[in-house]
Amino acid sequence: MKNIRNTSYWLISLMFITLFSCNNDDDNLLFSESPAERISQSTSELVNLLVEQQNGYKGVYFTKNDEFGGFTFYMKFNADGTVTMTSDFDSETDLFTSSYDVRLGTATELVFTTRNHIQKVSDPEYGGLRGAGFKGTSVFQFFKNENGTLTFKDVRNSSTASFILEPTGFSDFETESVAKAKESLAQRDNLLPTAQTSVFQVLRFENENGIQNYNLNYDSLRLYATPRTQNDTGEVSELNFGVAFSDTGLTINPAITFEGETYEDFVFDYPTNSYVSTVNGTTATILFSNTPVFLTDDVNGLGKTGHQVFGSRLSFGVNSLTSPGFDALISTVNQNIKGISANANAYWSYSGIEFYVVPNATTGYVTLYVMVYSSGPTSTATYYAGYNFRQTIENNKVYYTYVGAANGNGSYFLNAVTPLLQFFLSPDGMYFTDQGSFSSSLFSYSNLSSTFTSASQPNLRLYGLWFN
Amino acid sequence: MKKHIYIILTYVAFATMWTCSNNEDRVGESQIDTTTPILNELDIYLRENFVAPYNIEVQYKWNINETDIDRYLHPPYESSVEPVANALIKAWIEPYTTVGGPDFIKKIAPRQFTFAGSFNYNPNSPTITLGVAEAGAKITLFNIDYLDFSDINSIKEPLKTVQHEYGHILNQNYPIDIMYGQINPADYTAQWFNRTDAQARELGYITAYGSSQESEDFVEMVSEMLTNSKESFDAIVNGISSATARSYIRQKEAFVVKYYLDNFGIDIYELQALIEAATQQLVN
Repeated sequence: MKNIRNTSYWLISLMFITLFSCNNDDDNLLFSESPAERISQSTSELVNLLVEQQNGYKGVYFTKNDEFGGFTFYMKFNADGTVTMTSDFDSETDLFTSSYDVRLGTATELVFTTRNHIQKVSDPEYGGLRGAGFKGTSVFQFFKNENGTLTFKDVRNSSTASFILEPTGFSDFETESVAKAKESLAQRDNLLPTAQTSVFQVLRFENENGIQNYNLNYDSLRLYATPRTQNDTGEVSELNFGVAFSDTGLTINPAITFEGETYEDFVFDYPTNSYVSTVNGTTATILFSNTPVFLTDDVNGLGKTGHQVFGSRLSFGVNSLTSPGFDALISTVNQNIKGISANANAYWSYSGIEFYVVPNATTGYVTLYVMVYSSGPTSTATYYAGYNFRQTIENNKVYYTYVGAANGNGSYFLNAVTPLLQFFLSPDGMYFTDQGSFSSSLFSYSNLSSTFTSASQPNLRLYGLWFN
Repeated sequence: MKKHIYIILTYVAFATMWTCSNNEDRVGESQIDTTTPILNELDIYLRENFVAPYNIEVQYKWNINETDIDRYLHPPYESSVEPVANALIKAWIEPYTTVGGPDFIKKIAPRQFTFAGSFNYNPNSPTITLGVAEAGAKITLFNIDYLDFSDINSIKEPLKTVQHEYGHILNQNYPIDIMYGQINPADYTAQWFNRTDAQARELGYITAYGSSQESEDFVEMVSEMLTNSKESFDAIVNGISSATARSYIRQKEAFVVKYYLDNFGIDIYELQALIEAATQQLVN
């Protein structure tokens, strides 16, 4: 009897459990749509924003603002999944059409699914940046929409990349976009020294407290600047920013703040050949200067270990630290060499220099060898035309005075290479700067590299490496 | 008492039936978005030539998760895709189908190809990766934007990668003879890239990469045999100075021939001839 009673209790308990276990007491729907519908809504919101701009967007993309500058794109998104774009990445500015997609990943993503201008920033074949290019991406996470300006981020370079699209305001995308890209590309050239302008560029802040100058230190390969200045105690401080160009000037990222004002957008001023950013009556200006803001003492290393034999050869490839003015000088030297004789005209050409800057133990001279390559007619050879100089280091500059030809080739080629000798014989001396390990359009070596710049003609600068 | 139990059990049965009967939301249409995506002509070509007959997807539209996220890569030009896809049909699928039967590729094949336009540079190494095979299911081909279809050697580059990776996939289904690795194991090295192909051949490996390890050695033999005519392959082997090295490679060749014959009933020399003829026809 006791067992039967126990069984009844259990059954009654089961009855209550059964009653309440399926109690449907949560009838509030969190979402009125299905997950698929909500995903579709989030992607279609971005698709609609992209497609509704009949004349497309202007996009400024900084791939990694602690390492590189940025590029400007003009892109028109079409409802059929295609996007037409141009850019100021290089001189190939023709419009090109490819595919895009909007997907839901960890966020709503804009994906440029096939190759177009924007993939140039992730091209590992890019000369001088082989392996990773500008470290860009094809996948952008949609971050925000502020009054039609769309901000995207890169999941890889989440804190250093930004891709911002704003409506172009064009009336005809096809023609205006390419024209703007070309103007933007021209602005990039405005920041580079020409054969006539000084290689020294200065970032100058002007406000009620006065003027503060920085050496710009602009790397035209990476579109990146590391401006440096030195205070009265010799302490060096540095800024860092990438540069992207527009049809009217340039934009820097990250923006720089100096004495309370933040500078980001610079407008090119043609009369002064400078870029100016004006904020609340203060200015930041990027300009050419005949002298650097301050001199390092790198020159004191000349002749010591690691700075004994300097070399610069055409076969090393190109680095923008060799100035256009110096390239023009070499062109003149080359013409002179070819003018020596019919044989020279056919087979001889300038191929580089080697500069032995350890003073000779007996004479005290240092020796510059100018290399002339002969491609024939029967065999190849390199002639080393040698010239002795006296070398003096004063006030963080190096001065050379001419002694005479160091060998027969030196005498033979003297007239032809005189412009090159005059470069080193700058009456106001030479600025000498170490530039880290060697890199060029062709090679990267661990060898130290340096530049010699004429103080008398600051449009002439030579970049090369140290053999030892 | 029994009566009480029946009453209670009956009640429980009804309660169970009705308490969970709040089924006004009946199962309706799928909530998964099955809408056909926008398809361009290229998508339709790939569906008709790869997905429908072989259940192989050719993915050329970029998905960053399909390649190593730490590498800086980009998608291909759309114009680069069809020539490579066509080369796969002509010089890989069709020859295997001819010698292995219509179901050969359907049964054993990667289910997905991923195309990348850019070169894949290996960090901290002087090498690039031409292709990757993953778990027998997927082959990724890199640098397809840089192929020159007027140059047979350029066409052979992705084909060699596919033959190499397909060799791995075949091995995952039918393992190679363990004795293969005993032919000349002494010179396998992880620093294979410090050797040239010519140096590796003098050691008895058909390529430098083949000298990295046994499994790579085998598929390098396969891919070299299937991207060269028999005459070209023989010329490569006969051009080796070392008689010992030549002997090693001929022994490996015999293993490859036996592997194809025993496991698939395929005469690899017939396959070799078909692929060579097809590849010649791909040259613009």
